[in-house]
Amino acid sequence: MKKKRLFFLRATAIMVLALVALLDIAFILHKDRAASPLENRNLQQRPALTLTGLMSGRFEGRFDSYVADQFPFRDRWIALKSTLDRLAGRTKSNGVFLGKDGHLIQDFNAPSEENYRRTTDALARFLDRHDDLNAWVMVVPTAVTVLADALPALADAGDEGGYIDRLAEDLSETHAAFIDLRGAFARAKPTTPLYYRTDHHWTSDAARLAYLELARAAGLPENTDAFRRRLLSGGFQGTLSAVSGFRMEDSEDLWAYVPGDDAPQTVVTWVSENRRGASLFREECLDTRDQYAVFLGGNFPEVRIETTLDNGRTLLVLKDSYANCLIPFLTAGYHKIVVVDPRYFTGDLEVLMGAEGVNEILVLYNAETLAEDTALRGDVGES
Amino acid sequence: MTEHRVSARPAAQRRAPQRRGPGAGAQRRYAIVKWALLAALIAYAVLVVGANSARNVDFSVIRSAIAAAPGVSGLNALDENGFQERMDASPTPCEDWLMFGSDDIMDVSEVMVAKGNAAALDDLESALQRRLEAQLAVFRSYGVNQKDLLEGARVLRRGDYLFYAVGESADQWEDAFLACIR
Amino acid sequence: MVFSSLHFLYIYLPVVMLAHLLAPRRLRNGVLLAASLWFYAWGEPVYVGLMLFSVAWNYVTGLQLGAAARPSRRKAILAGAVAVNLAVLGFFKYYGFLVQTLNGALGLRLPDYNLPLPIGISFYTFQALSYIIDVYRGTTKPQPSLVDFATYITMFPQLVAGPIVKYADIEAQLQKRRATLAQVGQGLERVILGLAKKVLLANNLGLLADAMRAAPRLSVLSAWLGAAAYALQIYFDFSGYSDMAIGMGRMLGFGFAENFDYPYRARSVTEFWRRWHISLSGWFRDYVYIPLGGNRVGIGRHILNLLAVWLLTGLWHGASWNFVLWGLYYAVLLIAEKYVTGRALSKLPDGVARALTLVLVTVGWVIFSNTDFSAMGRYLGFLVGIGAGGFADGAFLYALRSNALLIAFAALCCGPGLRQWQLRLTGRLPAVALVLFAALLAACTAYLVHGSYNPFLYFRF
Repeated sequence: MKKKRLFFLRATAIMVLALVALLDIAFILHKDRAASPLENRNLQQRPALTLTGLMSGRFEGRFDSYVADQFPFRDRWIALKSTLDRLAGRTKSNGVFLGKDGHLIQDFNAPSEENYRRTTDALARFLDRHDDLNAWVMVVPTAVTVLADALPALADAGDEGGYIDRLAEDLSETHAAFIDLRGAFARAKPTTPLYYRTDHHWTSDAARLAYLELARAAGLPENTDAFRRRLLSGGFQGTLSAVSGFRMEDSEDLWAYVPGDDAPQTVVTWVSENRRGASLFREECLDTRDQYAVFLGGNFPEVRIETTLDNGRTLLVLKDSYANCLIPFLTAGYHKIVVVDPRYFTGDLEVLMGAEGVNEILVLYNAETLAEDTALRGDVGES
Repeated sequence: MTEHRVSARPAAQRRAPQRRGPGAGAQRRYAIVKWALLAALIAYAVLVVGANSARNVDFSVIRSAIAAAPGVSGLNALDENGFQERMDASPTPCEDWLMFGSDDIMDVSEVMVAKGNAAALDDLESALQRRLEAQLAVFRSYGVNQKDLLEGARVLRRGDYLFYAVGESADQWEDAFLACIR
Repeated sequence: MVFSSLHFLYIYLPVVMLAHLLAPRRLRNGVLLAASLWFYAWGEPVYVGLMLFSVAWNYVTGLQLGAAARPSRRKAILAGAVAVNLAVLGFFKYYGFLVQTLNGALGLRLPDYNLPLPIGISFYTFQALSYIIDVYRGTTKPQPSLVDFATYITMFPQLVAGPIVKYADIEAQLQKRRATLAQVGQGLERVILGLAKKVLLANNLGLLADAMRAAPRLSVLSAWLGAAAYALQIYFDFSGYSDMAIGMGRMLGFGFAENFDYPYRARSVTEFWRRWHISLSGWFRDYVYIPLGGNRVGIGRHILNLLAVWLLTGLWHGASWNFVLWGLYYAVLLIAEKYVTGRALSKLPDGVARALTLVLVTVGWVIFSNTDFSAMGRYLGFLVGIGAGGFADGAFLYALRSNALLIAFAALCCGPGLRQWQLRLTGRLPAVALVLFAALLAACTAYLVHGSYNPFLYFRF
């Protein structure tokens, strides 16, 4: 054998041995990490050794996960993989596109025909049942539609626009007003950041635009002068970077419109948690990974907001997490707002509406979540 | 001086005794070992098949075993409506069933055992997958702990039984169930 | 335990290799046996008993055959032993299949025990069968040591996914084998290449293939892209595993025969099967085809022989009817090449012949990958435009754009050029080659750390 080849073979053996020894020593000496903020998940801890676990294969599987999860320099390896993926041309991972300029955009999954029909019919019937009350339906388009030009070239994204159009048409026979934000967003796009770059939510600025559209239709104050724009965090890391593995080190600004001195005072009751507060913002959430939860503290089955405004208007909001940063604006126009998240709410909606004296209804979802949703129809009384 | 004993017997005859010599003894030993191995194999196969099927026990045995398992006392026993609400499927095609779940919306712990024929269990298993996916979608961004528990869900088919558990004590619930039917 | 896991690569393998190297010569097989049993038991805590039975049964059979002289007696021993081996394989692998078929066809209600498949049972059973048949034929002497024989059957490099190693090939090495640093390096070279094939190529191709297959309707080009991705995935998955097995064997001092010879360069289906899963087609040739008469019989009997062998080959791959169809598919193609199209095929230019073979093989993989016949039929329809969503669509363009580099590189790796270049590089610029291999290993590690997607397609054997 040639000398150089022989050298290569011996050197390979030694190099691999050294690498393995290095990593093994690092593994033995390390302390188990409980969670990975980078990936937004908990890490497997050392599994307990039991006979049943051993015989069923549970222990072995968990041990393998344990080695992978606690592997030395795990975050560096993940960053390397992310880089290699990008170099290979991969622009979509786990349903998230890596758009131009590093903007992460979640893909839209069209609902199955059955799912769509069940949700839409239930919603339509609900609205018809309450045709004596003012009602608005706002289905917010997400970045995949509004920022379609930021998608990677040739991206094959779902047709969210078509879904919103169909929904608008199917609900046009009810008395509710369907509020389409696409026009307003398209106009504001050049100057205003409408969506977070690492998260699937819209920014507070986008929410403000949406509020103004709603205000025109609903007879609410058509300005947000009572609110001040404030930077709550410069280190917001959204969920999309963890889900996709792209841009995991990126962080961005989180702005919010907080009530100024002219704004009505509020009392917020988180009904299921038996908690009360004066503020719609939960500042402790800024210390966690999920900083978006600063808006309303996250998602709860039922939140009641009472203001000092005495106009007798009581609004029911059926919503997902997008609504959380728009609801503060509504406090300038309503005496009482009852916020219900159908995914968590288990009570009887009709009873609640009667008890609280609801006289206006707002259905506020983003298109992606509504398309996948199976909870709304249950609460609005599908039968 | 050593003397060589010359064998006068012809070659063929010399070979003949070998058939009854050490060769035959070895053959018998081998044969015995092989029969013993076969017996061990049959016993082993019976054990494996037994471990993978399930004794038909009275469902109340399973119900009490699960109810007594650690962590279940904090959960509610669900009725048919509760089952339907969570699973988006009816339990009536099954011969018998039980389900425990939590009222707390942030608590994903739940355990279910169903007994029925293959078709009913197949349908239920699909409903289970859908439920897990729906739950994961709900907690995807907000509940890291819940997501982990959901991803560690235990789903088992044994004979006519379908077992499903999510929660901190899912392992113990699984063991309790298996102990009943083994 | 899976080869492409961090636990195996960074904990199990180094410990075992070190123990094997440092152990005194007499104890090496014992160490290897213990390590292999641990390896198997880790993945199959219950079924390790079955493998031990197979070892014991075939070990004693070998001795029996060695001690028996009368031909009728030897035939009886062989027949009995083979029957038991096949019965074990048949029961634990095919019982459910048999019961479901009978229940469906005859409306019976036989119980189905839902037995999980013991990993590697097809491989170690076939290895054991090759041993006892060779002892019967007299081409091999029976192995007197139980430890050595057990080491042969249970050896972890080829236990789970082959290559099927004939006893005669490694008999000498069981007794005496060297382990030098250069040999370890050579083995590692192969292991890293196999690992890269599996983790960098096969897994990513698998993502593409699965994405295409998940869609309810595909355009024609999307369907072909998905099928091609699957064909590439299964090649790199399986040949990567074989590479790792051969490399690990080399590290231990064994020389396993090659299992793949760039099969996608074949100019005919006949040639394809001389290059794909060589150890398996070799096994069927030596122990089924030739005993049946091979091709030294009349045309009718020859065709029957081919049908029998390929039906069995298909069935070996899985307990499901689509595998039988797959075997039949190749039987028909091989018979056609032998008696009808062969001469015309040899006159075609290389490129055309290769393309034609690739198309046939890719269609074969579609049959192979769909256990559900309606899904299979639908997909085959998409390939020719029946029920498809157009000829090309946005999904196809995006998938192509996102995977162009991957597919191009995979296509390149289907030929010997890159490997030959790599070998030359190690002999001319060893330092550069060293850096290259370090980078490969690092890349594979990165993908294993952050990859929950790590399937192995041939695992149901």
